[in-house]
Amino acid sequence: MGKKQGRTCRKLSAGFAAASLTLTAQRLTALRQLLNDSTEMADDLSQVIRDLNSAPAAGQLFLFTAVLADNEQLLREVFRDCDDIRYRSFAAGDKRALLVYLRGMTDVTLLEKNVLEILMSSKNQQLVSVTADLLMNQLITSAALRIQTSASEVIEDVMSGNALLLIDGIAETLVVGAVKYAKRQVAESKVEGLARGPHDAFTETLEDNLVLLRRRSHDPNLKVRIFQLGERSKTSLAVVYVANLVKPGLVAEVERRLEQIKVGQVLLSATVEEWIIDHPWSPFPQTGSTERPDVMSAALYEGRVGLLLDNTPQALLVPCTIGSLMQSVEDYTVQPVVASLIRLTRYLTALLGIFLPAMYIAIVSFHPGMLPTSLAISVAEIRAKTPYPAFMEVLIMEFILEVFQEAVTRMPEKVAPAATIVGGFVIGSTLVQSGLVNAMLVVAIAGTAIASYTMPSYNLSLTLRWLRVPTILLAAFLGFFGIVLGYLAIVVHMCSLRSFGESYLGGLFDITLLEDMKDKLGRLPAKWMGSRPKQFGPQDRTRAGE
Amino acid sequence: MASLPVWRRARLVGGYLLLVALSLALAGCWDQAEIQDRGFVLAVAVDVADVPGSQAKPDARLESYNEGGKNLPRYRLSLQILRLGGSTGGEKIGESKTFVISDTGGSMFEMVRDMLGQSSKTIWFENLQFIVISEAAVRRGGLDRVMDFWRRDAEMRWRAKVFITSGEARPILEYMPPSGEPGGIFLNHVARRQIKAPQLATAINDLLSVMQLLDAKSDLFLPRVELEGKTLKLEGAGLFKRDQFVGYSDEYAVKGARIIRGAEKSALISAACPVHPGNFLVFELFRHDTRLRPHVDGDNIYFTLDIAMRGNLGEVSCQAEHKTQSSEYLRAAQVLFAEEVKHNVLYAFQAQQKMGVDGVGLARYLKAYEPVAWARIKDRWDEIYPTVPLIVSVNVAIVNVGEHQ
Amino acid sequence: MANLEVKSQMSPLQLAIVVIVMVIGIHSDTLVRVIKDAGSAAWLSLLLGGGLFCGAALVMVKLGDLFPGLTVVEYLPLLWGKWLGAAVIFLFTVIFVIHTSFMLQGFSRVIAFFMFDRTPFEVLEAGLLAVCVYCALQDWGTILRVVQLVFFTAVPAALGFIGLSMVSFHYINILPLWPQHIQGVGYGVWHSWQEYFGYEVLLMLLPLVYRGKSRMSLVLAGSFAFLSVFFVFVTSLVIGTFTVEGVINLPYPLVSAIRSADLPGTYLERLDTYYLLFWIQIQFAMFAVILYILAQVPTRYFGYADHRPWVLALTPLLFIGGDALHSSRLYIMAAQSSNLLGMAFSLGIIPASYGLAWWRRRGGNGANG
Repeated sequence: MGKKQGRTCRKLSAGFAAASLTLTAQRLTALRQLLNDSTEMADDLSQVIRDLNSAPAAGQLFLFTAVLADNEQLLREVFRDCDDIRYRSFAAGDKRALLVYLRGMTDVTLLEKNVLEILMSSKNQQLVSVTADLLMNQLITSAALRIQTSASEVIEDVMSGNALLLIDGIAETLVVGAVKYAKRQVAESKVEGLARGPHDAFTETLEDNLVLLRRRSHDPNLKVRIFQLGERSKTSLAVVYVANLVKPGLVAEVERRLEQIKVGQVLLSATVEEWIIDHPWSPFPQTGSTERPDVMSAALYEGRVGLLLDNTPQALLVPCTIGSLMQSVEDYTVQPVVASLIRLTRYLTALLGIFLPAMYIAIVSFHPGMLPTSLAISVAEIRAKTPYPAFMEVLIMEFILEVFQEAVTRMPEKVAPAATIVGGFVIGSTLVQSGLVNAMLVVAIAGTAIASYTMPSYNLSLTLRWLRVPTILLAAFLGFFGIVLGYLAIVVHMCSLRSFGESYLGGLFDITLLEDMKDKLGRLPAKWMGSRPKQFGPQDRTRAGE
Repeated sequence: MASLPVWRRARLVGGYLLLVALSLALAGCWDQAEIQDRGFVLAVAVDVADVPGSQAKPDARLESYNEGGKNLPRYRLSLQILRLGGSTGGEKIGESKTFVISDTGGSMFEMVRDMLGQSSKTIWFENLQFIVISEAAVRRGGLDRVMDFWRRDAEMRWRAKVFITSGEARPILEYMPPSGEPGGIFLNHVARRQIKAPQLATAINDLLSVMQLLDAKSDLFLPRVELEGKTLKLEGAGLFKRDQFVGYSDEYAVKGARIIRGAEKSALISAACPVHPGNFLVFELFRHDTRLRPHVDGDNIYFTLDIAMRGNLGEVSCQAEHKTQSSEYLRAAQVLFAEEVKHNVLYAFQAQQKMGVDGVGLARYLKAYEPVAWARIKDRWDEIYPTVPLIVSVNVAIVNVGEHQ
Repeated sequence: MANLEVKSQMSPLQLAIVVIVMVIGIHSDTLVRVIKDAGSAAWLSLLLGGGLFCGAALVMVKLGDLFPGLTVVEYLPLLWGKWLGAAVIFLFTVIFVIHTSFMLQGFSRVIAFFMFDRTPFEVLEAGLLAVCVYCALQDWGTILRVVQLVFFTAVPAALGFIGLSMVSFHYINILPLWPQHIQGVGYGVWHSWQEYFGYEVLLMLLPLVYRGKSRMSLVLAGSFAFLSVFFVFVTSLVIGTFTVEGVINLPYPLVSAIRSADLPGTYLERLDTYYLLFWIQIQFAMFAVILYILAQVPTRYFGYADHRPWVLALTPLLFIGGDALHSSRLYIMAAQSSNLLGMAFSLGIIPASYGLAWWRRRGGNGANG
């Protein structure tokens, strides 16, 4: 400003209104006011947040406070009428402390040694204050120790067998992991035993099962992810897979399907199976089920995913094809040539198990011309004594067979020998002698029953039983033509089944999967089985190396 | 259902369609007939009806039916049906396993259907073992007329044998074989012995071959079965020109015919010993290589037959006087046997030429190997055939003389 | 890689297997027809026919190569214009419908004659069509796997039974091998189209084939060679068992030939029912693929996303068509008309289309400089 060469000095604000000093001062005061207001607002907000934090969050039953009496009251409320929850109150230093545990599921000796002994010992009496930090880092010598604040998780931990340590004055709780309960020893599988090979099988305890798996492969790539299924029962499910082998996207798909499971309680792996398969109405089992850790381990290393559910020894394997269902561990412990014949026989007996009674009806009632003359005459002689048409005979025998099979499954062991006599002699011989059923049919039905038992998978043998009845009906109405139609319908159905993307039957005769034939209908020696099955889409096809 | 995606809807509809289609089948089962409810026909006999002097039975009236006025030449059809053990208890010793029912009429099919009035079970031909036709029946209408139903029906077994008999055919069905088998099976199995017995004409004389030869308008021969008293025997054959019966040829001629065709599997050639009259030697044939070929030389047609045989010495009645293992003996024996074969062959061939019947099937060979010549002369074959010469050359090799020298 | 996403694709060898399964279900009527024309030189007719239709198939492959990713329904209108293209597609469909009805009727006749007595044809047709519909409603990946299963189980078994019937074979019956009348051989080649019918499906299936390790034309030629050899074998077997005159008098020579196989002392007799069981499976695979292809034609033409409604729409048409051919006059007429149309299509229209497409490509390239 100032005079310069006779020009008039003008203020900046004459030309530029926003540059005025007064305006600026006004604005400054307004800004200061704003700042003060916002600071007050912030104080208010933080007070609100503090108030909110002091209330239990959604889903939480209550909030732990630093007052032991309140906490104990709240816990007793939740565990009211659970008489197996025990409360041990004691003094830790100068504070009151409470130990809550579920009797029977907790290792009381461990608690006594690691918690009570330490906190109640004389040298700790001098402690002025006990903080959670001190407890965690210096005092409690338990290997599994967690600080927990959320009430629902604390309750879940106590119901799982962990012990809860509450100390007056500390708002956090400590969960001491000391789970021990009565469980079954690792024993041989009753359903999947074999002559030469390991005899251990999965038990009902998830941790033990995982140990059995881990022992077979000391591979850090074998990943275990644990989920909780069932809103009420909160059962643990472990999804096991080998990360650098499994087909990309398979694990994500499995987990996606697991997340859709909405039940209160999950008891059996079969329930999980029904939720995750693609075709719930099909009679065929669409996941592999095994009790043997060696089977599961081999499957994992082919690129499949395993599911282990707590409290069930049966593990699930996905994806599953008919080829994998028809493989048995015995095939790999016997010479390859012998094993190939046995496996081929297994496929043929599967066909027999479905079609033999139907073929009997078709030959005897519709196409007796198929028999050579001498056989036809003996068949006619035998059948001349029985009063029913073949169709009814077969249905009667099938019904008796079903009743028998159900009875055998439910029978207590003490009654079994007597029942064998009743079943074998009375039903078998006397039926034939009385002329109600002819001997040839009894042989045929017995052969069918035995054929369906040769299946390595129990579910598959039940499927064969189920499929027998429609084929008997088809044979009774259209003879051999009906049987062929039934066979074709079964084949089409099996080819259309998809188990997590893999065709159920289609892979057996698919020429693009020709390399997999070395382990399907027969088996090549181990030296020639150098690559993994193409069908499961593993990331690395060679078995050797990492 | 409208809320489902299209493909699921279509799958449901497809499922319903499948159900409907299956229930179409459920509407009834049309062809269910239990095996024990079928009457197994093991053998069939065709005779002529109303032949004077035949066994005029009192039930002749029942065994015929009203044809509706057609005046057809009448045949008599007999069926041998198996008797099943069944719920009436076991069979008595000595009782036949089969029984025979008969009917007379013009059409085979109608007679069969009429016989349903005599049978409690449905008549079922799928186990048919043989058909025997009497000479009179064949002379009456020709073979074509008799055979038409049997080659047309779907149930017939094409390996059923066809026989001819000079007398009545029905008693052959009633014959009870001493081995206890049902009659049809017995005779069928007898016919199977042709492997070791070249004088049986049954190598290629089942329903299939008869049908095939009739279609090709060839001449054929049917094996002949005779029943006298309690003896049933297959011997010789009946010769047919197209489908008309011409005459019989005996076993020696049948054997020769089979040797020409190369159809024998194991034959015995017996020759008389020239040194010791009244004695003989027998040659057992194991392998042979027979070639029958036509040759056309301008207007001349002739056939050559080259046979090479290998086998053992089967029986020598004057063995003590010969050194059967010496090479001169063997060479002489081989020549003898070759002569015998040639004699047999020419005997058979000339017998057939005399009857004018090309039972061996020279026409077929001519057509196969010289189709051009055949096309030229096929209309005159009937005249040419009796004049066609057969040039035979036989080579016999004795490989072994057996266990004893 | 055998994976979920690529299950609808196939390799050239799989296409060859589909073609083989389509063609190998021998139809007795056509066999008699060819033998009636050519006599004992029927083998020559079938070989020549095989070569001819192999050529037609290779032209189809080349035509498909000019329009990658498109089926015949999509590129024919591009070539011939909207109306003419629609007419050709309609012709394609009509050939399939007529000949399939003919084969369906023939199928039920054979089964009813040999396996049953009084069961009506409609029941047999309905039963088979029901299972075929179930199969055709699936996606192509499933159908392909079913066809492969049939190829590896039913085809060798059927071939085994056909081979077993060699026991009644007489060499002399098939002589003379060389033809006496050339025009008979010619007529035989014309009628052999009915034997080789089925390879036209590759027009619709070509876009699904990924050109993998094997060359398409080589593999197809191999399959036609296999089929020709098989037909020659069957013809020789049938003539050798029955002679030419005998075959002409038989309506179902092949099954009758198998029926006549009998080795006394073993249980080898009455093999025809066993053969028919496997033949039914091969026919089922053929009908299922045809039904699928027939449904794909309107699906692609009208732009539907899914072929399933068309499967359900076309099935009654085939059933009625198969049933309507009860009278022999209609039956023979159907075969003759489809024969004529089929020959015109395979040997006339397709090569013309290929020529047109090639000329257009060349002309287009020339115009672009």
